[in-house]
Amino acid sequence: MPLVCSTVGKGKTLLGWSIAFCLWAVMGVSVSWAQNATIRGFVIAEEDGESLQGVNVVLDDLRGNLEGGATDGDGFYLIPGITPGQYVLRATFIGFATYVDTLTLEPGARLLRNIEMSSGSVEMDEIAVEAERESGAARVTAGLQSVQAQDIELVPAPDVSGDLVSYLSTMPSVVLMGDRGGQVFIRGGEPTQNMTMIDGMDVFQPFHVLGFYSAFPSEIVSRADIYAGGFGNKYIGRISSVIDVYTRNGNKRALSASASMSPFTSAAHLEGPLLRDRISILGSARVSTLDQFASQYIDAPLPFKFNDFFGKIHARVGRSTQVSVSALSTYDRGTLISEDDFFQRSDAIAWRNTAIGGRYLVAPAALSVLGEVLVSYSRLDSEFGPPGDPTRTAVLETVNTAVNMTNYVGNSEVNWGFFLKAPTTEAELDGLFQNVQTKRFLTSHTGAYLEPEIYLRNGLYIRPGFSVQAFGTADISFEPRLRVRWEGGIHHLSGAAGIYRQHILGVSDRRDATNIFTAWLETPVHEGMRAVHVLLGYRVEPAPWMEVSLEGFFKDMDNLFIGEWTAFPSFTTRLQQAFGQSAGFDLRLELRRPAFYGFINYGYSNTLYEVIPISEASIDPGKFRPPHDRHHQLNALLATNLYGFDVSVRWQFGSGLPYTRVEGFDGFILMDGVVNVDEVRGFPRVIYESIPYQAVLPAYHRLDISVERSFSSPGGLEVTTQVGLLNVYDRTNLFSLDLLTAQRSDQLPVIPVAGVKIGF
Amino acid sequence: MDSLLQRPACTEKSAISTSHTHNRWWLLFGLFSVFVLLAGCEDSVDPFKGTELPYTIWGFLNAGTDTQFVRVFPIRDELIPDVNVDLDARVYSTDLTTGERREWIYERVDFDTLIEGHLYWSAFRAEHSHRYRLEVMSPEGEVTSSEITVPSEIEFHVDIRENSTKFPVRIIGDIPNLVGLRVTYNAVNVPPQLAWPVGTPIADAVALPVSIDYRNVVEQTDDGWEMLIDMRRDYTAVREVFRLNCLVTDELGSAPDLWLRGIEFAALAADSSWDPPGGEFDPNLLSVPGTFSNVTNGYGFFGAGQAISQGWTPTVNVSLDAGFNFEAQCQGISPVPIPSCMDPPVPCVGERLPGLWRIWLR
Repeated sequence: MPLVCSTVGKGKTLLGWSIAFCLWAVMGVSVSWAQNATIRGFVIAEEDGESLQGVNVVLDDLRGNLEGGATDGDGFYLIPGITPGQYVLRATFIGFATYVDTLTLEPGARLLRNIEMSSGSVEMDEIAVEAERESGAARVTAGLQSVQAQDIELVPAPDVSGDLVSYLSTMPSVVLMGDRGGQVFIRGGEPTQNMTMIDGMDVFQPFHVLGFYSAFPSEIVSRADIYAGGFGNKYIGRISSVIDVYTRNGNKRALSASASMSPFTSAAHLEGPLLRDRISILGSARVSTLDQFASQYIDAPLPFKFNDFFGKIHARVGRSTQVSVSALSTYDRGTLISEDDFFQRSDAIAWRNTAIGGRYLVAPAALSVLGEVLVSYSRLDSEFGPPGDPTRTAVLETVNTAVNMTNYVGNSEVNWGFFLKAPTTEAELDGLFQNVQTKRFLTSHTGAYLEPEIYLRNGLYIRPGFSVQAFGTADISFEPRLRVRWEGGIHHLSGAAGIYRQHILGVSDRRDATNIFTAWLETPVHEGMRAVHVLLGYRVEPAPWMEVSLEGFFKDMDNLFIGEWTAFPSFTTRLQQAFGQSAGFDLRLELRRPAFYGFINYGYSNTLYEVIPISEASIDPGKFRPPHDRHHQLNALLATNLYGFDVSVRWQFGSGLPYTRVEGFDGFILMDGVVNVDEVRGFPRVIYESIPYQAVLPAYHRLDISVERSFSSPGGLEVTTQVGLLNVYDRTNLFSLDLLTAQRSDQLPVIPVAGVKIGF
Repeated sequence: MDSLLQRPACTEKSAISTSHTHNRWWLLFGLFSVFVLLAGCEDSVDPFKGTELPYTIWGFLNAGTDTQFVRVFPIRDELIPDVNVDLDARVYSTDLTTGERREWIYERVDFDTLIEGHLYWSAFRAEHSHRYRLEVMSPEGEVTSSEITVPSEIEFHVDIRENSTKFPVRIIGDIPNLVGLRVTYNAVNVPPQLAWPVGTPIADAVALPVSIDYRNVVEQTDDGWEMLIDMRRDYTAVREVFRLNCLVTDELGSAPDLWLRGIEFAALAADSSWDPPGGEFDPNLLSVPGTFSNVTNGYGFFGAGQAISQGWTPTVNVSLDAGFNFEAQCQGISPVPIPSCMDPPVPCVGERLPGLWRIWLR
C-alpha cells in the first residue's frame, strides 16, 4: 500500500518522527520475521458476503499447539511468525458451520486465505462459543463496550427497527437529559467532548432532537465501539468518550430491502450487489412522521422534525483490498420551549450533519500489515432563534485525512498512524456569550500515534501508547496512554489511563435546558481542554450464561468553559473557565438463558466543577455539581419469547439532576455614579442560591414494553409487527423547569405504539 | 406542560388494594399494580427557596440637592411584580450626628410591567460630614437599613478655554471615591440634503448624547483630583458611536458629519463605601446579590455624595479643531464623482427597523 507520510504543518519534528517510524515499522519488523510463514485473509458470511467480526481463526499443528486469534471489524485475520509445516486451519463462529482446511506452509510463505462461512450449527463446547462473543451488556473492557445490531434490537423502542441511542440509554455510564434534546453525557463529560464517528467520519451532533433516535438505525450498524473513557491513542481530539460506529457493507449476493412505519417515523433501507461478490450498496432513509401520526393521539406537544439518510458503496477490489465510500446526512428541527412559555418565546433549534468519506483497506501480500486510509469531510450547521430568522448560527466543519496501520508480530500487534485535519469553526451568537469573540476560525490539526499491543504471558496484554498532536499555533502536546487487560479463565481484569486534549470547544448555555444550541469555538486557552482518565475493571463469568462486571473510573478535567450564573434574567451570559473531577463505578449483570435474556446495571457517578471567577471580586461558589451530574442510574432489561412473540421489557431509573434554586426576585439598579433612581428604570433580578446546583430535581424512571412478531410469507416477504407501550405507568418525568416562573415541562406521557416492517 | 400548582398530588391517586388470596401470582400482580400507580405520580418540585430578607434598596444622599430619593424593592417570590400595588413599607432617615429623624414620602412610579417603581423621597439637604441611617420598615416590623457618612464639602473648577480643545478640571476636597466621572458630548449628525446616487435613503438628523468615561484618566493629588478633558481624542469615540448607530458613514470626512451642541462634565464625590469590588462597575458582577452592598438585612446599596456637574458650549473654532463639522460635505449629485461621497449614508438600522430606530434614538 502507498505509505503517505505526514505533511504535518507544526514542525519538522513530527514529520521526522513519522518517517522514521514508517521505515522501522514496515522494514524492520518484516525482515526479522522473513523466514517464518504468514497467513492472512478476510472472513465473510457466505449468505450475504458481509464481513464477520470475532471469528476464531486458529492454526492447529496437529501436535496440540494452536496459534491464531479473532477477526477484527473488517473480518480480517493475520497469523504471523508461523513455523513452516503442515497445519489445519479452522474458523469457528456462533451460528456458522466450522470452516476447516489443511495447509502446508513453506518457509517465508505469505498465504492469503479468504474464508466464507456458511450458516449452520457449531460443534463446539459451550464455553468456547461464549468466549467468542464480542458484545454484551456486561462485557466491558477498560471502558470499551461493543454493541452490535442484535443488541440494539432488544431494547423497546417506538419503532420496529432499533436505534443505537436506545441502547446507549441503557448503559450506566450514559446520561440523557430526557426523551428530547439529543444531548448525551458520558461519565461526567459534555456532549461536545464525545467523539462520534461513523465509518471513520466525524459526526458532530448525531443524536436526533427526539431522544429515541440518532443517525444510527440498527439496519446500518454492524457494530459500535463505545469507549466511556480510557480510549486509545487512535482517537485524538476529544476528552470524554468515543462512539465509533462501523456500518455494514451491504449484501453482495442478493437484493434486500425493507420499509417500516410507526407513529414516529417512516423508514426504508435497501442493499444489494452492484457487482455480485464485488461491489455492494447499502442505503437507509428515515423521516419523522410525528405531525401526521403521533401528535394526533399523544397528549403532549411534539414540535419536532428530523430525518437521516445514509448511503454506502463497498467494493472488494482484490482479494486483499477493500474500498468504501459512505455518506450521511441528518436534519433536526424543533423547539424545546413549552407552548405556553411565559416569555412567549418561539425560538427553535435546528441542525444538519453532513458527512462523506472514503475508506481504503489493504492487507499487502509482502507484509504482515493491515493498512487503512481514511479521507472524509464532515460539517455541522446549527441555528437557533425564531423560525426563518435565526439569531444564532454556528458551523463546524473539518476535512480529515488519516492513515492507520497495524503490524502483526507474533501474538502482539503494533498500531500506528497519523492524521491531518483542517477544522473550521464559525459562529454568530447574538451576544449569547458576552465575552466571546466570534470569527471564522480555520486551522490545521495534525498528529501521529504509536500504540503497540503486547502479549506478555499468562493472558496479560498491555497496550501502551502515545500520540503527538499539533493544533494551529498551539504547542505540540504529548498524550501518553495505557490500556491493560488480563484474561485468566473466567476472570478478567482491565484498566486504562491516559491524558487527553481537545482544542475545539463546544459551548452551550446550560442555564437553560430548553436551549441546546451549541456554538463551536477555538478553546480560549492555548493548551486546550485537558483530561486525565483512570479506569480499573473486573469481569467474571461464574457460569457460561452469566457475566458480571465492575468498573471504576476517575476523570480529572481542566480548562473547561461554562456559562456564568448571573442575577440578570437575561438570555446571554459570559463564559468562565472551570475545572472538575468525575468519579464513579458501573456494576453490570448479564444473564443469557435459553428462556430469556436480561441484564441489570447500576451506575454511580459524582461530578464536581469549580470555576475560576471572571473577576477577582466575584463570589467563588466553590465546588458544585454541573446540571448533568446524575448520581445514580439503574437499567434493567428482560427479553424473552412467549408463544412466538418476542417480548422485551425495559425499566430505567435515574436519580434527580441538580439545579439552582431561587431565593427571590427584586430589582437591580447599577449605582455607578449620579443615578436618579426616580427616573432610572432598573432591571428585574433573580436572587439565586449563592452556590449553584444545590437542589435536586425529582428522579426519572420509566417502564417500556414492546411485543414483536415476524411472519414469513410464501413470496419471500417477511413482515414484522410490533406493539408497545412507552412510559407504561405514565410517569410524569420532568424535562425542564423554568426557575423564573416555576413552569415545568414534562417528558412524554404514556404512549402506545404500533409499527410494521416489511422486508425481503 | 402545567404549572406546579395545577398538578394533582400523588396522594390523590388511589392504590389498588391487594385481595387476600393465596395465589402468589395475584399478589405479585397486585404489588406491581400498586407500584405502577404510585410510580406514575408526579414528584412536585419547587424551585423557590425563599429568603428572610425583606427589601432591596437603591439610592444615595446627595449633598448637592434639596430632595433625596431612594427606590425600594420588596424581595418577592414572583419574577413579575404586580406593579399597580403600593408598597406598605415605611422609610425613615436619621441624622446620627444631630439625632433628627424624618419619615420619607412614598410615591409609586410607573415604568412597565416588568419593573416596579416604589420611590420614597424626602425634602432635605444632606449635611456634609454627617452620618445618616436609612431604615425601611415593613408592617411586621422587619427593618432593612444602611448607614453612610456624607463626604465633606468640595470645590471644583473647569477651565473652559476659548482656543484649546483641552479643558483642565480640578476637584478639591477630602473625597474618598470619585465615581460616575463622565464627559457627555451632546452631538447631532448633519445629513446631506441629497444623497448620491439619487434615491438612497438618508439618515435623519438625530441628537445622540455620547458619554465618555474619564474614570481611568483622573488622577488623585494631594488636595483632591484632577483631569484633562480632551475633545480631539473624544471626538473619535463620539464618531464611532454615531457610526455604530448608522448615523454616519464609515469613511471619515464623508457625509453626513457631526456637530457639537454642548459638553457636560459630571461626577459624584462619593463616600468611602462607594467602592465596588475590583474597582469596576461591572453590572454582571455587581448584580450578584451581596457582591456590592452596605445594606443590613437586605440587598442593594445606599450611598452618599455630592454630585457635581458643569455644562458649556465650546466655541465654533474649538469644535472644528476637535473634528466636529457643521456642514455636510457631500451635497448630493456632483458633476464630478467625489470618492468620499461614494459610500452613501444608508441608515442600516433604520432601513430594517424604522420604527425601532426612531424610538431608540430620538
